[in-house]
Amino acid sequence: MDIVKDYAARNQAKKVKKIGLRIGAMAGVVEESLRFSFHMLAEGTPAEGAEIAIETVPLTGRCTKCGRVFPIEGYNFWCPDCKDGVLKVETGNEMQVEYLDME
Amino acid sequence: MEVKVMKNILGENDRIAAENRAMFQEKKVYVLNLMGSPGAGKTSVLEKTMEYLKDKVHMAVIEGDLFTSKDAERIEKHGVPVIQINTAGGCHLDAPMVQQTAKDLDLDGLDLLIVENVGNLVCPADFPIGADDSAVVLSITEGEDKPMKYPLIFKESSIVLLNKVDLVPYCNFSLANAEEDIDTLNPGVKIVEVSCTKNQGIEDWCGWLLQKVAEKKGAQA
Repeated sequence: MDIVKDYAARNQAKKVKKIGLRIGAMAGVVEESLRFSFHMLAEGTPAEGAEIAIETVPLTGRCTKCGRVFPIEGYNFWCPDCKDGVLKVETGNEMQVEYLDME
Repeated sequence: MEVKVMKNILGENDRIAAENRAMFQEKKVYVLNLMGSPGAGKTSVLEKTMEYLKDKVHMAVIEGDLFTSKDAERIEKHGVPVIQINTAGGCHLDAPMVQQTAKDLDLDGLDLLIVENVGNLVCPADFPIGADDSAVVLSITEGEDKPMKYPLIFKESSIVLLNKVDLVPYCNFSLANAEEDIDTLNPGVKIVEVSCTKNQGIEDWCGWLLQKVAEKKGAQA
């Protein structure tokens, strides 16, 4: 909400119509709870009634040995190819406001 | 009009965690974020740690709980400086809380600061506090399925303590299964089998801590 208010003020926007979020698969965010809570929080603010668009970012990791990127299945962080390479998270931790649609 | 933002929602906590890290780096204090369920044995592990380490390093503790100062009182008995944070409902400590509390600690000459987080296997993993490492305590009575059910906290930790191992014969807990799951989530992570009541594993755990403290002291700013 702070990010939304800040950007609305900076752009002299009266209304925020849409909030684009990037939420990683491992970010621990429950989409329904986020929508519900934000809806309550946004009442009486320029973001009241704003549509929340969520792009879910899949969990992928880059192997420390072979350097290739793999989707991480079942929270198994061993490289499926090398067997003893470790997958360092490449994507999937995001919790970002990507864009705002305002007027 | 569409405006590109690309800002992290929890960016403010991350920013303050980075400030904390810099402050602890300047004072060469090694900071450990100690996490685990309510009743896992975090405070008991701390008590054993103090018995072993308090004459070897200068240490202090920050205690995090919703309510009461029961844990801080246990720490105080060992003569180690301790400050209790009561979140009054908050399920985890965050960077601003630790920053505020650290102001009341004498960081000069301090070697080791252990922050005992609120008992919780979920939220503490999402809120960095500026510590060097995280440690998670899992007790045998919680069940061998917990690592896979709560992957993030096990993945984020640099060391896992499996506590109350003296109860293994009385529980349906396979150390092999739990350790394999933990290794899948966090390949190669150090796992120490501990029993506070039987004094098992404490030396191994404290040896790891001492090495971390020494590395921090020796590291260039």
